[in-house]
Amino acid sequence: MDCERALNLLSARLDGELGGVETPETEQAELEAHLSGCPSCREGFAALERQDRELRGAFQARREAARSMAEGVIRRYRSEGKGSATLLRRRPWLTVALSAAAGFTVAAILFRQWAPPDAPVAGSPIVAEAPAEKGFPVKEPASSRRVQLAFASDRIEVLPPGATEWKPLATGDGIDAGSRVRTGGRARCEFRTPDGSEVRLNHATELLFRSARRIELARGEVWSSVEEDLEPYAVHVPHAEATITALGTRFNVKAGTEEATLTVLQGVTRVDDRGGREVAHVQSGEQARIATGQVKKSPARDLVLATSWVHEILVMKGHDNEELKRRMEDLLAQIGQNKMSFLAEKEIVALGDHCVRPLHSFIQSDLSRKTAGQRDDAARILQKIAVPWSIPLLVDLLGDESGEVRAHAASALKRLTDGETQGIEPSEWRTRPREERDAARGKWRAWIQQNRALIPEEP
Amino acid sequence: MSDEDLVLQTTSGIAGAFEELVRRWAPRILALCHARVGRSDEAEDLAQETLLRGLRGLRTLEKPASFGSWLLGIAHRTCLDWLKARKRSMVSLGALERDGNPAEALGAAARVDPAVDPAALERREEITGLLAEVERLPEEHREVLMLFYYEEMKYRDIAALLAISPATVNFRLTRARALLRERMERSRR
Repeated sequence: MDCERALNLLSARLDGELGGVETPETEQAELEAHLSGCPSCREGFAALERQDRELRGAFQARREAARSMAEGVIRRYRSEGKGSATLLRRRPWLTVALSAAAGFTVAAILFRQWAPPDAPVAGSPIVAEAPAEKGFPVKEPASSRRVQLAFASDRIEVLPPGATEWKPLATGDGIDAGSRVRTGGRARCEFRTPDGSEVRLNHATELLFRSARRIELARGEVWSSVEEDLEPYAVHVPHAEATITALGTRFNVKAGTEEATLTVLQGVTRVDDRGGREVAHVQSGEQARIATGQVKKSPARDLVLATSWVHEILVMKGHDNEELKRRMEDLLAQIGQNKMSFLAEKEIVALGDHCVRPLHSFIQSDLSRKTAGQRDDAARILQKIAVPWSIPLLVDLLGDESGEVRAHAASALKRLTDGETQGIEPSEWRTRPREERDAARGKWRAWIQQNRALIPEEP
Repeated sequence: MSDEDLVLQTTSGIAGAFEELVRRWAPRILALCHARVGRSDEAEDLAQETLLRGLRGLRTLEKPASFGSWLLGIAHRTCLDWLKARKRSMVSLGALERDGNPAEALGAAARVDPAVDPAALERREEITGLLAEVERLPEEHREVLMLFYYEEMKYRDIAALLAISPATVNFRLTRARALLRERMERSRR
């Protein structure tokens, strides 16, 4: 074997693709023999690995760009009045009725009641698209240079600069630099800044927007998803005598009476003390307690659970929420991993029907084929939270290759249809021969046709 | 769920279908546009335009199973239009400089936040430099490399998309990596 052939095979091995390029086993053995006798190829492989890490890092931002580009296309296509926009209109009474029928948590129902009505969300100046023009580019317009309230679950108040009285702030309203905002004991909200960054406030939070990118957290908890801009984005926490500066980062800051807890979900943040001296870098996956400008770092486990309060806001954003979907997948990955993993499952169940479509996609995605256990977990949870509109999705899953997935889907169908089984009890879906299963699936499809009028549309 | 199913669901107005189609294809289309025009910012606009054209024209697609190759065709046409338009207008000097001069691109990255620490700045410069070298690879090599790193596609999926064999994917990716390594080493010297 020559070095060129060896390098091709090493490249495939690095990508987990030795099988993908149909390498005979004899050749794999030749590769091993070549490697043991060729220091230059061994070195070449080490260099390949290093380069691969660098490339993965360099493409991280490109992958993010692809994701946000996709969401832009989706919004734009919906704003053209196409796609499924008409089916997405909320009908709060129906969802509440369905939720109750499915018997899932009160929390999920409460979320729904807080959801803003149709018009303000779709028509809010923050998420609105520019009028459809011919051609491109299609970028999010900065329709206003002010910070705007994008979503709120309850009353949010603002104290404009120079004012002495707090007044209520409505969804879609803008605020000026120098304004203070606060949430009460029940309200959570999200502000959108002109550069597209998102600032979310938990219950009982008060902060001052010195500018759109300079925030002072007086009390409570704030979550930031920061877009890059010329001006650095910083959260100052007076009680902890520290300022946290980010560049293209997601992080959460919780202010205590004399300290603050910083959790970084993505990217890197820099912590400066009162004198503006840099004291630490805290990066993705780390948590830091900050007091009197001193930082104590620890690895953060369960990042998603630690910041699960933002789920209420994500739920308000609607069913097709990429961020919520990703968070659900992270939660799913935690199940069975440690003693506290039941909390991750509880969190998914609490999100109720918002997780139905993501769970279904997860079970069906190529990604999940590698982790059979997770697919089964996903099906088991789906069985708990499935609602009537998901009946066609469940019938889909009756054709799954995993008996566990089929049994959970059948069990949910039985529950949702008042005992309908089409001749195969849920537990029997694990073992019955394929022909019998296919026949029963056919019956289910016919059942859907007959009962189409009774099955609600997906919200 | 297959592309075919999603296309059929989209044209019959089933909720969630077109979104999934867009999310599935966005990274591939962006990778292809990026490889074609060699610039990430323009590629995002072109990929967005491709996906929108695809969605708007979905009803004209005769064989839903061939959605992928159909969308690829749209991407190629969209990029070609852009490349031709750019040639016609003979590009201003400023744009040429931005295209051809990595130092300028690095300068732009450095201006983002002058307060950031030197290590982070260096890291950003490395990333910008690496991506600039990727953009300068021969098109057939950068195409495979970008599809691989934008989405971690399997060789066989890249092969099916580009109508080449998995062995060719392996060959081009290996070549792309070797070229990149040579050039990065040269620029570090």
